[in-house]
Amino acid sequence: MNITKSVFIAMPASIILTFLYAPPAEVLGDAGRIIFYHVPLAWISVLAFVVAGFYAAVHLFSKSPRAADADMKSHVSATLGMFFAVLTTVTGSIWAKLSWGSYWNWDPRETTIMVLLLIYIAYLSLHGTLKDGEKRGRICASYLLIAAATVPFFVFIVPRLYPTLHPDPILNREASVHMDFRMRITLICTIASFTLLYLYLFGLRFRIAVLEKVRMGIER
Amino acid sequence: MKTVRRIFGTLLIAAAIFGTGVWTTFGLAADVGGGERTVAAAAHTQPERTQEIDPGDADEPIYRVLGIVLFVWIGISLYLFFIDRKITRLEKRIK
Repeated sequence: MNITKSVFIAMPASIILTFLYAPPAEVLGDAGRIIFYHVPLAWISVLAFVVAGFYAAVHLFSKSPRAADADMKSHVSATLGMFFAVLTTVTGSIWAKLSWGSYWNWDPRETTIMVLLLIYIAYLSLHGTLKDGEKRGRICASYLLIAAATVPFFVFIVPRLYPTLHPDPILNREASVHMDFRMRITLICTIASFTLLYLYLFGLRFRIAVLEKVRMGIER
Repeated sequence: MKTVRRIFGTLLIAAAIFGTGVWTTFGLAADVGGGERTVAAAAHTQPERTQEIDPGDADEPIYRVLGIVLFVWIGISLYLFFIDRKITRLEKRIK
């Protein structure tokens, strides 16, 4: 059995943990539980963009026959990354309303996620515009590689350079998580479940892409 | 391409449903009026419950929220399960 299918058990278990096991946040109360969705979504969107960049590099530089599908895998991962980045922005925006009184504040972190979204929207447009073939694979892989190189800059560097209202990130300067023990356990569980969800969706979407390719080959 | 578009569309709809769920769960409660930018972090003034949940109290709104979120997840997982089954069938047919 494919291990990623355990997401069907892990996800509801995590949902129950977030509402019944984790205590309410100190200031935001129950509304603070949004952290258990916002942080894992942000984590998997970064993971998806990094994976997309990795497969783009494999497609460009590897001559191994096993790298034949790398182009499709990078596209699948970039699409999923985009999907989760939109959800991260939505949940972050709601959190901003709860904490700062407004859905959008042009905080450095909000601005960088917006730029990142625009970069990947441009990628999807590029991929949709070009005709299927080796040339499209190489152009899109080059674009994705450059886009992936900007991800650490926009996610980890820029928000730390400017003063921000954003709460202390999980990966902070003191390298310690300022969180109640039960909240920390719940967060680890939700991150693991969302990672499984990403892997499951990645597999599913890749299999669909392979079927599409086979169908197009038959039609030609 | 049609299937890919359909899947992408469905994912977008799922995102919209998820977003709406989260919005209604967390957003409406936060409607404190105004909407003007609050610069100071001292804006954390939500009069929210910060004590533990009483496990015996079934009227706690959190149980309703939990039910809705689980219901949404069950819907998404059923959809994914059926797609997975269809793909497996197609793969077997092609082989």
